[in-house]
Amino acid sequence: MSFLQLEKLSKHYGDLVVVRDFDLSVEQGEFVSLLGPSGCGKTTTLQMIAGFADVTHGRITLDGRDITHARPNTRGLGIVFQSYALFPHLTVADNVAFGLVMRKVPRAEREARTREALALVKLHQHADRYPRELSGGQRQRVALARALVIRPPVLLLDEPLSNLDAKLREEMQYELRAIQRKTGTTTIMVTHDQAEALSISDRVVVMQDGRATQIDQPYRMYEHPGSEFIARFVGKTNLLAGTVTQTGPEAEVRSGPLSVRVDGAGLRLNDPVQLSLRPEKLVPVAAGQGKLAGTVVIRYFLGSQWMYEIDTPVGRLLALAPNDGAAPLDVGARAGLDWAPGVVRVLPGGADTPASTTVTSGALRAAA
Amino acid sequence: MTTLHPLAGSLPGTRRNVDGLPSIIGSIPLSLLFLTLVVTPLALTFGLSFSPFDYNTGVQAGFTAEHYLMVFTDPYFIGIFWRTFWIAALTTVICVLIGAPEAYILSRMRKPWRSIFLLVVLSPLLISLVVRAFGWSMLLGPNGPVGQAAQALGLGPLLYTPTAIVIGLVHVMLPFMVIPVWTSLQKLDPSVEQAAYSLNASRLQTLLKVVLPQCSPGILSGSLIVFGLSASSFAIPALLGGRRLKMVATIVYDEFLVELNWPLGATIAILLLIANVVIMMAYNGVVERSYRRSLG
Repeated sequence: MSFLQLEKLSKHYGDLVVVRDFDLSVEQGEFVSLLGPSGCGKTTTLQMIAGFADVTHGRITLDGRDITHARPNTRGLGIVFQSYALFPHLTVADNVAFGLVMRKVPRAEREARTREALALVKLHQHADRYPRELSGGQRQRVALARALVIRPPVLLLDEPLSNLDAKLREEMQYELRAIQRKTGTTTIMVTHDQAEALSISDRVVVMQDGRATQIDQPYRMYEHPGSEFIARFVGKTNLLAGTVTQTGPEAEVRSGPLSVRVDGAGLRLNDPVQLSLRPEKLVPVAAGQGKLAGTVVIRYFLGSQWMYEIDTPVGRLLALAPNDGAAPLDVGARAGLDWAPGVVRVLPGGADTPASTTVTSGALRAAA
Repeated sequence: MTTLHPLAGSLPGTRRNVDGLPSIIGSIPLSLLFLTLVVTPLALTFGLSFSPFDYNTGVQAGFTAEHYLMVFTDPYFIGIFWRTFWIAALTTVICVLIGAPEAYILSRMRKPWRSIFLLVVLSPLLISLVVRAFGWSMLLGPNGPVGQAAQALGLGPLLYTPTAIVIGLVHVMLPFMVIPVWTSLQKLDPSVEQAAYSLNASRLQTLLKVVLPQCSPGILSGSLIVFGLSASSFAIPALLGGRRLKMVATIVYDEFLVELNWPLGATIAILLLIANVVIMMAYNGVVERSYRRSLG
């Protein structure tokens, strides 16, 4: 049995089902992210684990103990809130010590542990300040120290980085992971940012309409998305509608003039499918070479990479090429597109959607 | 206490710089209002309090401090001042004890009920003070239900006692406590309470250690308003305290309109003003010092 177990967890508000039949097993020391668009039920799931939302059906077990209906102040979980929820009338040190005071930890030990927690988040210099005298990133660290000082069995993070600016968010994200590694605290993070979820989690749970649609390690999630929604939400991708024209261990899928060989497991002849080509797997090559010919329509400079939108016979495709110092393709230039064998993924169904380039929120932010 | 006219020039976010002539011209109307309606009567009252008075000839020209000396030495007046301030203080304490929980419960109510009950809380403000005072005197009087109940319980008569004044004042002043506390509770981040629960705090501990300190500025400013208004209240003490149980405002009225000793009335009024200002500023100073850094 795993450390934290959610079984058939559901939450209804009247007729509205916010979370349905959510199953998840978390091992001790694991970092799991709940990823999904707003309104997918990820925060409600976290609130149920924390005890702030009642569970309609299902069970939550923590280390063998059923906590489904336990009061929040008996669960002993560490929680970092989106707004940080610091106590504004207490100094940083008193904020961090609050949980220890409530647990009646003796004074000497309390002070030592508070100092230790503040050192962990590199805030020992600011122990006597009040929250309003700190920057957003520092408040975030206080919230983290306050949650970790009680040595919780599970740390819950509710969109912990969403109130920070981009640069700080990236730094904090790695620091969060480093601290989690150091303390070994089992962590569940709610986020809508796929880059954040992929970069620091051991496993990612993609949620859609109150359900967990895929639970996987970040790399597997990215490389083998289980549905069109996941392919579009986790990273960005080019989706092409196609039909299975040949089955076997290695099947063939045809999309317009293009024919690609893919992993044939579970495919039947004439099945409508979607092909997913990640932009970074498409390599722009000299015109006349490669598997597809096209014309550059727009190009974006992302610093370490160039992002091209290329018109091809199968539709407009997004391609990412590393900025290797060589001159990039010009707008209007003709180019070929190539890719390594085995990088094209097949997603079930969806022949009705035309070939399209999907730019997700992640791509938009990277381009901006 | 605060000067209002410089506001026009120093408002943050004002685009154009309005220093110099425009700001002087702009502040003239308000300054005139302030001078004629606040400063002039105060100055006249202050001057009057030093005028000699004779019961046969009335107010005389000249200068004397005898009225001040009289108020400071006569146990009758000292007793009235003392009674006024303990009644005001007791009213303030009771308003805190009732108003703060009331505001908290109000802030926790759901959508339609919150506005309905806020209106109920504020409704005393919509009824004339005199009507309310008469209502209380009927309730508390020897034939009223509350008065009879008190008599049956052996508490003696209620009307025309300090108890009656305190009851009346609490009823009148409660909205002035609820509103500031409610406002400071509005600013409370709801997840702060959840954070306290998650750190093993009980409901009571959360209320006392997290919610209460954060609405303290509201409680303290509510206390200032309630204390100031109670100490200078007139209608409630006049109607519920009767002819014999005097408070400062009622004795000022008596001196002006019954005794016709205007200089003594002015002296008492000025002393009430000074005492009120001193108490409130001292109180405010303590508040400022303890909350400026943490809660802004």
